[in-house]
Amino acid sequence: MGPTVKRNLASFGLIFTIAGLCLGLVLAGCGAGATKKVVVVGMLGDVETLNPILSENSNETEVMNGIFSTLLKMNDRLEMEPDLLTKMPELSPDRLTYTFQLRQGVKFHDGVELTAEDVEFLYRMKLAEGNLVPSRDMWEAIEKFEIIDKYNFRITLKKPDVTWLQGWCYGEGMIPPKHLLEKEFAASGGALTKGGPFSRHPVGTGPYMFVEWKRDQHILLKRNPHYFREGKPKIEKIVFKVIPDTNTMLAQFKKGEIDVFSQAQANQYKELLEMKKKGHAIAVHKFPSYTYLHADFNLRNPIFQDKRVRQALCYAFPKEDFIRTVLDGVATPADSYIAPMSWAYNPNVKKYDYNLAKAMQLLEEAGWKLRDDGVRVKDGRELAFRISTNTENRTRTKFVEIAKQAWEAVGARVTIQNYEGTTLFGDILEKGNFDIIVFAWVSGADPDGYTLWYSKQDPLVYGAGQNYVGYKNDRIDRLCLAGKEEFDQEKRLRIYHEIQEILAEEVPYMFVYFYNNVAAVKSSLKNFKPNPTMANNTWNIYDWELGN
Amino acid sequence: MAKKIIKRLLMSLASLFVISIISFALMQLAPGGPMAMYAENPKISAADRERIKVQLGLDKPAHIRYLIWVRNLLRGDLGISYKTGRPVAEEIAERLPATLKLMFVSFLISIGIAIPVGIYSATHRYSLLDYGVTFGSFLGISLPVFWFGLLMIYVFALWTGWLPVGGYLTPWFSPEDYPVLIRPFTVLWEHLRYMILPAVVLGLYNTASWSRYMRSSMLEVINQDYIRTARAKGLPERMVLLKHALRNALTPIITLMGLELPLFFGGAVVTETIFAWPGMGRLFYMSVNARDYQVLMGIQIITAVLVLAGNFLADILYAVLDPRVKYEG
Repeated sequence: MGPTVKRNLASFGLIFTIAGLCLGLVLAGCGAGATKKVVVVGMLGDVETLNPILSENSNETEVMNGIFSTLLKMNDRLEMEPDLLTKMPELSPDRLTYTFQLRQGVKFHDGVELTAEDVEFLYRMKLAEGNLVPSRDMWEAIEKFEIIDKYNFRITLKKPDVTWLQGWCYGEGMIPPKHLLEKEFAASGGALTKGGPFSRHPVGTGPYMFVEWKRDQHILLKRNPHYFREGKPKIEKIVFKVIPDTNTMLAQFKKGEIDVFSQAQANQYKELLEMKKKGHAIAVHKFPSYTYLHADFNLRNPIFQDKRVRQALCYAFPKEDFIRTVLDGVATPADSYIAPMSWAYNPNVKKYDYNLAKAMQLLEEAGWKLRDDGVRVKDGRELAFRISTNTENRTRTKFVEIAKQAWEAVGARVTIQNYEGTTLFGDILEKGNFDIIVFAWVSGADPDGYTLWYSKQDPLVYGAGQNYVGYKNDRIDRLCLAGKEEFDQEKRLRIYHEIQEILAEEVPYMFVYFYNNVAAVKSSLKNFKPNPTMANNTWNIYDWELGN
Repeated sequence: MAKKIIKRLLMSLASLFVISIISFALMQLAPGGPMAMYAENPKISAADRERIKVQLGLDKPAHIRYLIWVRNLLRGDLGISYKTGRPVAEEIAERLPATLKLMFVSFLISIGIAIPVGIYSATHRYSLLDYGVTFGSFLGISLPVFWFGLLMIYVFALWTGWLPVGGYLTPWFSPEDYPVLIRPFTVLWEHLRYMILPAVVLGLYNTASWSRYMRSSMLEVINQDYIRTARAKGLPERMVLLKHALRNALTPIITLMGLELPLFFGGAVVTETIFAWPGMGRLFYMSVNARDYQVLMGIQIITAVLVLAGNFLADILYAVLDPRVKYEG
């Protein structure tokens, strides 16, 4: 074979390959269109486990809503409704015992029927010594778990707790199969871990069955033909695609590589509206969440022990302007820790609209006099303090900068001392080593705020709780306890209204704003109903449908 | 030669040991810790955190944890990730293929462009193209990767629609959906189309600096006496450049590449994040954020081994390429 022949053969091979590639390209394009009985959900981070016994993060709930069922659902109107139960559980007159009745004939994806045994097993696993369970609160509250028969069981609590039941709506209350996990629990020597086999190959009773999980790429689920809700689900496959960058996620949504963009950022809201205006067939949702930004006054610092100083600083910060300019209006001003959509929200509490004169006046009254250099002093001490937040959150660092300017305008001397998140939460917050600390809490569908405001929840003194600022008010203490044990909705409402009034007057925190969630989906996806609770936007994934 | 190699190996082991101590100590000194990710979660109480700490073994003092880690390492066990509960070796093994694939292709792109461009710039110094290349290189080095990456996404994925924005493979892709005849091409294209953008972004970024190295290395060689001799012998210019100059000019470039070998393993944090590429860069970045000491130590120690191996390899290649370098025992 001469060199020319060889060369000709080589070029022929090359041409053939290129032609094949082109053909493949065209057909791959068609193929992608033809198999589109799929809904792709974008997810900013991969999950760590799909075992509800061990799960704690919201991405996991988002996926597990497809695979598992819960006893109850928290719907988008923030009401509880039965899921695996035939009706809402019955509560005994002493408000301690709940009686549950399961639906009959609900099957796990492997065909085994779900019974009260599975629920009882979940309870035991949550408290088993070796299991790496993130939170045990809900389970330690249980005094006794009695199985009545295959479908009926009774749970007795140690003390009445009106907030307890809703745990059954969220990720931690999803029911895994006893018959599979029992073996894994025994084989692991009584220590279930996120690395265990069930974590990677979950089996539930939910609308979709687990197919595969490619780390940092995607999780693939397929339709469960034996789902207990008649005629559901309607979609063949659901993909949760991991896309770690929000800009890329938006680009993928624009291009149609994802159908559900449920973790959009506040600053992408404008662009999404723009997209819609330009004729993209999408639906854009914006709704307040339970997460609120707050600036906490360390009440161990003598400066902040005077409530007039705290109030003055609240008056001196231009909250509304901040939301309008920095957040494009994608936030709801907060004046309480209870979200505006909650039934317990009190709209009539004291509000701190931007008012410089009022701030100055309060500081004067508190004895902080202006010095020539513009800094206020009292008893030879400057009105000087630090403000801290976590550096990687740009909205918070902007907040801190603007707060510094705003407060220096009324005579404070403010030092910004930001830390990386792991340091701020792992070290600074825990040790109470801050003057003002800025971060966010997630409140819930229930108004309970016991761990934040009850004085014995000060972790520096009592070793537990989240009252990091060291707040102590006897009336609040009593109300917090009463609120947890009161089952009468009217009476509870009055309790939480009063708590909010006191907090708004005393401002141990400056409440800044409730985050708004932004979610966008293709218009072809029907029944997408965003949910601000821990139930997540996929709470009704069984109801999703593809239209035109 | 053999003695020299053994000596070097022993020294490498000692360095490894020192590196592991320093890495471990630095991680302990860094603020925060693996428990910090639970702190902002209001559902997890302080009692829960204490319990988890004990369950993960984080209640033991640092030196004990180091000794446990070394003991496990000697048994060939890199430990268990704090964050995901999976063996570290498995975490790495799951990410490595994607990273190697991306790195290899981008490496080919870099070499394929940098070497010819470097040679051309050197031989046509101060020509219009040389200036163009110089400008391009500086542009390439200065442009932030995330910006360039997003630009490429905008042009090639959103505007023209030719390539996917990001990802690794289409989750529901199955070759059986296509006729047998073109199946291999569809599979090839399926793999390629996701890789093109990240590989080009990464490749061009490296090209920028490597073409500069190549240019200056080539310039240095061209002015040597032996090149003049080669020309004086009457060899054609092509032969002079490719046979005599290039081989010598490549020596420092090879050393450089030997040093870059560990980067192959480490992946590219920014590029992988933008293009949703499931590689080592992201694993490392996430582990840093979660202070997942176990995974970090695992990556660190493997990187250290690769650095040492890379240096070793470069030395040997050096001897092969440059007859003046000889190892004597």
